[in-house]
Amino acid sequence: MTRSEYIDILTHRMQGIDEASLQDIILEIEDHIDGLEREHPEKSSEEIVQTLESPESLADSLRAAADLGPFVEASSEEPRDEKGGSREDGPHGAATEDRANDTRSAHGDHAREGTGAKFSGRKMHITIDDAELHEAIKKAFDIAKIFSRRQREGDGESFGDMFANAFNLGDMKFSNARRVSLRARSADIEVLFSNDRLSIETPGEEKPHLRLDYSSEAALKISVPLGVSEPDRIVLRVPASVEDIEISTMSGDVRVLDRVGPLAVSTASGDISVDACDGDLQAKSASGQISIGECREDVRVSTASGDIEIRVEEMCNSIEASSASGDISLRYPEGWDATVSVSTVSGDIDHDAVPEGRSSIRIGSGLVPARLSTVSGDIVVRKE
Amino acid sequence: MGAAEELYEKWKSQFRKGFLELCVLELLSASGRSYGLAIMEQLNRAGVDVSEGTLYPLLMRMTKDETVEAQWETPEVGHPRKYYVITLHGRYLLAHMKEEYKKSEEARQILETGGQRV
Repeated sequence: MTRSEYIDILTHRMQGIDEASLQDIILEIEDHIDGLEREHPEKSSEEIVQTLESPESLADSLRAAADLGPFVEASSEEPRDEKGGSREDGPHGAATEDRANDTRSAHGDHAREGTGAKFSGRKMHITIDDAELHEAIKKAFDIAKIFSRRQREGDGESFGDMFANAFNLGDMKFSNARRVSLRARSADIEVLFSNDRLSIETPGEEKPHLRLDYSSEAALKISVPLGVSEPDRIVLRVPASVEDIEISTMSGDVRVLDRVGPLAVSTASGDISVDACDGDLQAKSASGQISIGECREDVRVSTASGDIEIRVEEMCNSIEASSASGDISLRYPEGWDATVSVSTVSGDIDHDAVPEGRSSIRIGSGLVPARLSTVSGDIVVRKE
Repeated sequence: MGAAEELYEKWKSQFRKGFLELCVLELLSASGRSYGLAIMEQLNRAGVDVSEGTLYPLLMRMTKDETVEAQWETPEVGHPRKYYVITLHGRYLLAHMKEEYKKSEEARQILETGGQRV
């Protein structure tokens, strides 16, 4: 079993737990595995996963500790208690209900139930599940009509017709989102610049399992419901009007081709690469590699065991990169101007600039502050 | 596995349940704070065998009981890690657990020596 398979099974079998607790558990277990990998560099990641208790049994004990019922394989994520209070409590009642769910899903009937939209306060939740996409679109249009009416009658905020052009086939667009967050587990994420509106695509996936929550604060949350398989790829096209974007994955890679505005990315084991970003950039990964290209503002990068590579192409505000056991490489262009503080406990430092004091080097007149630190990794600072 | 061993294993897992919680509280009380893997390794080194599937659910339960508190920390270098510290509530519980443990062992010894205090 690979590490990401272990995490996937654990995640799958924890369905029913709230998202925050799940994230907590997964990050803790990832940290646990990281720790073991560091202690046993002679073992492969798979060998280490082999020494762990099985994800099924770990999930069972965690479920018991979290007062969740036993895990039952079911393809529906519908909260069961919405079906009225007549259900008997206790494991027997729950199991019967789950079998009923399974039977229904085998006939494909529950697909319609898996898709829907509902209001709670001023938040709108849209879930696109097993249903045909055009069904979902139709439903979304219906809801959008009600929504826009309510908005006009309400406080007059005008994102009521956000659905007027909301969906193309296989492609959903929200034109007014100011903040976007995307949480995925194994899907690879691609971020591109868009000069009109925000869109989400899942190439090669006709029935994407995505959950979109759009709040009245113009914050769009994109996530993959627990217990369903993720699309392999999610492509986000983001316009400059989105002020904030946050992306997090477990094992999925994140590739940012072009971002206008600030950006925050975090992964557990996925690699991160940012080709261009002209706002503040934050990238964190436990064991993934991070590679950064053209950036203009503050750059903050950290990993536990992954390597970091920064290729400076322009003048940016500042750079901070840290890693526990990964190497850090910084490549700069002719005419760059920076003071780079470098620190490593047991690694080597290789540079082609002017040493200044014991732990700093100067390039040009030393304008841009940069700080590179690692515990056991090497540091390289060289002209491109 | 023979019947006696089976009974022993069953008894041991019962006995361990409460004892392990005492050990985690003791460890956190002595070390100030610690995180999952380090706790597991310290317990194993001390001779208390514990697996992920026992420790993490226990820590989850103890967090809910508020005998320990979990804190995510992002170090200067590296990625976030979840640390556990013992709470006042946990210290109170630990003191009483230890008292109980001592009393139990004393009681056993009295019985062992035929009812006389040692």
